[in-house]
Amino acid sequence: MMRSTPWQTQLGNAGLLLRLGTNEMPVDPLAEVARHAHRGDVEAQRVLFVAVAPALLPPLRMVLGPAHPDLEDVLQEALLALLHGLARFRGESSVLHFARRVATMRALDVRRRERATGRKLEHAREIHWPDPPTPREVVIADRRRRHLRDLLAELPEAQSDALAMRAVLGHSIDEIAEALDVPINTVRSRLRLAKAALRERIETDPSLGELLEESS
Amino acid sequence: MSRLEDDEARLDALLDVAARDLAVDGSPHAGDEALLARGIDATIARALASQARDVARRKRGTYGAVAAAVVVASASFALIEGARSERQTSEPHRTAVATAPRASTEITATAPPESTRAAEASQAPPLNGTPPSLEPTAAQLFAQANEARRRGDEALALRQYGALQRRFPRAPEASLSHVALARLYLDRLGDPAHALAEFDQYLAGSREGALDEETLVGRALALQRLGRAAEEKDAWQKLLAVFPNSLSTGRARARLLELH
Repeated sequence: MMRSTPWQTQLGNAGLLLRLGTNEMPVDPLAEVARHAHRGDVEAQRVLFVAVAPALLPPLRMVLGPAHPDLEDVLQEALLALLHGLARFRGESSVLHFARRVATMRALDVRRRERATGRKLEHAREIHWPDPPTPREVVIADRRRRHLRDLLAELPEAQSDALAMRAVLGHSIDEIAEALDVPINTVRSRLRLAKAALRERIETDPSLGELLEESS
Repeated sequence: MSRLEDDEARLDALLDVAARDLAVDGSPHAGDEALLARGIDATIARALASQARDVARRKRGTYGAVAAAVVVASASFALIEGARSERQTSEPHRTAVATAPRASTEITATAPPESTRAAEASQAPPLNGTPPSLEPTAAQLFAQANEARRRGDEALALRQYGALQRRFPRAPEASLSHVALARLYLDRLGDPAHALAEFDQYLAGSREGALDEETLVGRALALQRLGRAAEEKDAWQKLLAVFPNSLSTGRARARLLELH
C-alpha cells in the first residue's frame, strides 16, 4: 500500500469538501503540495502538475492559438516556470490561480518572441463550437480573436500583461493590481492604454469598425 | 453619456466579445489527456535534470557527481525520447499511455484493456526507481531536428528547431537552426516569407558567418519567390560581391540578366 503524506491527506479532504459543496475549506488544497514540490519532492511535483496542468491548456491556447505547434513545449515551460515561481509565491491567490497566471505570462513571452522573429503565428485549427455559428459569425469571431491575440503580442509588456489578465484570465482590476503588485490606478492606466491601442487598430482597419458596431 | 464614455463602453464591449471568442480557442481538444501526460513526464524529467545539474555544480570536481549526472542523463533522455515516440503512434495507443498508472495520480481518461495497460506500465519509467536525466542539450536538439527534417517529418522538425531557439537562444546551434528552418520553409513548406525571416534572423545574429554564403543564396531565392525583384537583385549582387567564387555565381549572374 502506498504511504499517505500529509499533503495527500489534505488534498483528499479538500476534494471531499469541494464535492460536498461546503465553504469550510480553510486553506488552498494545493498549498501544501506546492510547498513540497518547491522543496524538490518529485512525487509532490507530479501531484501538483497533474492537478494544475489541465487548467493551463485553456489560457495557453487562448494566447498561442488552439493549434500552435509548440503548445506541448510551452506547457512544459509553464510547469517549470510554476515550479521556479513557487519560490516567490506568498499565497496571495490560490496555487491554481497562480499557475494559470504563470502559464499566461509564459505564452505571452512566446508570442512576443515569435512576433520579433517573424515566425508564423496562425495555424490551422479545429474549433469545437458549443452552438455552431453561421459562416459570417465564424469569420467575424476569427477576426476579433486574431486582432486581440496580435494586440497582446504587440503591446508593451506591462500593458499586454494587464490586458491578458483581463481578457484571458478574466481577472478584476483589483486582482490584476495584486498580482502585478502595482496600484489599482496603474492597472486602470495600463488597460486604458491597451484599449487606446485597440482603438487605433480599429481606426486603421475599416473592417474592425464594423466589428465595433456589431459588438456594441 | 459623453462621446468619450460611449467609446470606452464600446471598447469594453468589444474586448468582452473578443475575450469570449478567445475562450472558444481554449476549449478542450481530443487527445488532451495524452498531451498532458507527455508534458508532465517531460517536465518532471527536466526538473530532475535541473536538480541534478545543481547537485553536480555544488560537487564540481568530484567523480561521484559526474557519475550521478551521467546516470540521470541517460535515464531522462530515454524518458523524453519515449514521450516523443508516443506522438507518432496511433490514437488508441496514445490514450492508453495517458491512462497508464503513474504513482498515486492519474489523468482522467477511458481505461484501456488490461493487456494494453500492462504493456504500457512495463514501459513506463519507474517513478521512484532510476531517476531520469539531463534534458537534451542544444546539440542533441539540433541533431534531432535535422534528423526529423531529413526523414521528412516537417512538423516535428519545426517543433524541435523552435524548442532549440527558445531553450538555447545563444547557442551556436540555435543560430545555425535559422538557416535549416529557412530551408525547410523554402523548400518543403512553400513559405518564402518565413524563410526570408529566418535567413534574416541568422544574418542578424551570426558572428561566425559559417553559413553566410548559403544564407545569401537562400535569401535571393526567397525574394525571387516573393516577387520582390529589386531586393532579389540586391541579394544576388551582394552574393557576387562577398563570395565571388561561390558555386552559385552562375545562377546569380543568370538571374541578374533576367532581372535586368
